Amino acid sequence: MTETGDRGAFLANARARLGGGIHRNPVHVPPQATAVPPEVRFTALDRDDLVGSFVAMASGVDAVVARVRPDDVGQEVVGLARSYGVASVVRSAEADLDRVAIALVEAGLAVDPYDPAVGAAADLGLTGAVAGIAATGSLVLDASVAGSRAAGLLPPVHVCVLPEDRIVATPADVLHPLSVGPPSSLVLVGGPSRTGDVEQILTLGVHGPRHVHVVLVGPPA
Amino acid sequence: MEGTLRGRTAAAVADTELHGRVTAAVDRFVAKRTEGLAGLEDADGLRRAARAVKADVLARLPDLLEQFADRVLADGGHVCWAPTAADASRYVTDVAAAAGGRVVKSKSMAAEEIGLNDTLAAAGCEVVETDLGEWVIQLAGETPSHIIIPALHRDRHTIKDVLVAEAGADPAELEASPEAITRFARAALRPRFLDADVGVTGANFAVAETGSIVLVTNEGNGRLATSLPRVHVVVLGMERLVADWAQLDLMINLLARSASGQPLSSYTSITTGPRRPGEADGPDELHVVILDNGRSDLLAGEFHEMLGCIRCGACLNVCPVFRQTGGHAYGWVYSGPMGAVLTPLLAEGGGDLSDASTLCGACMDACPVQIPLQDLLLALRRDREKGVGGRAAWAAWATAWSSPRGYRTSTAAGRWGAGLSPLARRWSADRTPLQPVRRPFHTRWKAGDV
Repeated sequence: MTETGDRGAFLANARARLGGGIHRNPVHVPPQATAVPPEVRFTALDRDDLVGSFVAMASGVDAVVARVRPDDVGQEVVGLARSYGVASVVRSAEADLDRVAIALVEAGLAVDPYDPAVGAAADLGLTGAVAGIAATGSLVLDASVAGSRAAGLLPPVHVCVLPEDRIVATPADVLHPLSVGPPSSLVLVGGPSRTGDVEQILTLGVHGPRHVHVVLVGPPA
Repeated sequence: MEGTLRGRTAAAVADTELHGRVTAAVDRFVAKRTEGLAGLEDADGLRRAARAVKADVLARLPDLLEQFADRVLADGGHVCWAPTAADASRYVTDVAAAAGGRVVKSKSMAAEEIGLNDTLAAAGCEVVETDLGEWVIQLAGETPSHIIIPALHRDRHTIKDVLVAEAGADPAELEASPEAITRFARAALRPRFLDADVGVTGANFAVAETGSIVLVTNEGNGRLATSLPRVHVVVLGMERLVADWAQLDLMINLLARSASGQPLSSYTSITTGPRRPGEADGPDELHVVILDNGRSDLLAGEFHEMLGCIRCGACLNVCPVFRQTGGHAYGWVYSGPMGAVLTPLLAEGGGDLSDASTLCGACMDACPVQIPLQDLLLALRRDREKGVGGRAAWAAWATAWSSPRGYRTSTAAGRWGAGLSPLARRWSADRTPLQPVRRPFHTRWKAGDV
């Protein structure tokens, strides 16, 4: 697309500044510059129990996690919708949400595919996730898979259906593969939207959802 | 910058309510940071590595910027190279006005630095800040008093007052509670997101390898501002690059835990190019404004490590001076130790900010990128003393006190005329006045009185 301003002059200026060598602090001597960082390791991560670590960390950021068998996912989500008095659901486009959508419709709820107007009016946003991160309790939302960004963001309740086998250990497991080409939008979500702007008292549900539920789908019985 | 440093700090220190709020907030953040870093194995090793990585990035910055820009363009984004604040503001304003002029903003220190909101408003654009604290201070006509909690200087009652005065809140209906205020903000700002033409954000990081922008937020306003409006504009400080995703992983883990103790913030949003076919939301246009505004001046010199700052706020929270005054005393958008260094380097004035330091080094020990802030503050002080008057005064003092006779003569003169000498007056202007004793120790020693 378009480029404005003078790239050549901008970079020539920066190169000229660097040309004479970089000052090295003689008091707090810096380490050798390196392009390759060490691996980040997490003290609370149990690599033999990624699901357990994920549940603990996600709960720690105020997401509510339920582990269910594949056949029970529909009823679990219907139950959540009923508990919040939900009438309308907006869903993102993943095919693996179809069974849940059918269960919701059969339970008398309106389920519509996402667009911004539908999302803004819905009581509950139903999405999948391409991964969960055990070390941080994060959901990973990919707009190229979900077909959208804000289905789980606009409504006050977000329900995310995540197969357990998509839980990876660390953020690096999600970030490193992006070298080959990220989607237009990838978001790591840690629980509900929050702020401490008023007297540093934690308040949930600012511009995003107040409630985040993760329905972890276990292996078939 | 309004007033003088002395005036602003005196006002801040006199405000005991403000002091209480600042102290409570920073103490909380310090505890959270400790907790957060305990979740990483060898956190200090990672901080050292982050310093080494940033050094590598800055040494290769021109090549990385080129790679980054090429990737953004290849993905269908627009790039603006902005050597000055005015270049950046003008470009953003042109884009915003052409798109319809209704702008929602996610918090951006770089945008504050260039006075973007004023330029947009002058061009007839409607700009609304969407981060709760930033919205409140925008309504109140104020500047942020802390990187992470911009409205730190206001409690629930003064926040309610602003909402009543400027946002149409009904004083009888709006309870002065965090919950009610948050609900009010959500309801007031949601329509602005839905109607906006342009979302303007900063960027916590930019990844050269793939031309990606990383935005770290908690409220959801950053995500809404980059999902709903047709145009997304990013104001990116040129130094905020990392080379690749491995480097980004290191930085993102350190940032969240250092700023607020969270393993990651609620939302880590990674944007690469505008929306793609088949996506139901996302911007049609993505513009990245690469901002210099004095940063390139710092690239190789004594202060270059300041460009490694990731704006976490950890240095503010541990600073014994910041906890007494909050951020407004610093007079510009950047406060605390990082502000005391960055302000005189990027802006006019602020040279005396390095005097507002005990040089305790706590900031350096808290910095996730191990910026040697103590050394940089000392260097700024040294540079200020380079004026002829300063050098002469220090030289005279050094000469006087280099011999016992010179010492006794000058201190005797000082006892008699302590209030009178220009040197003493200059010394005392910003310090507790010198109070020489009537009988010096060496006199008492000789007299056997000790």
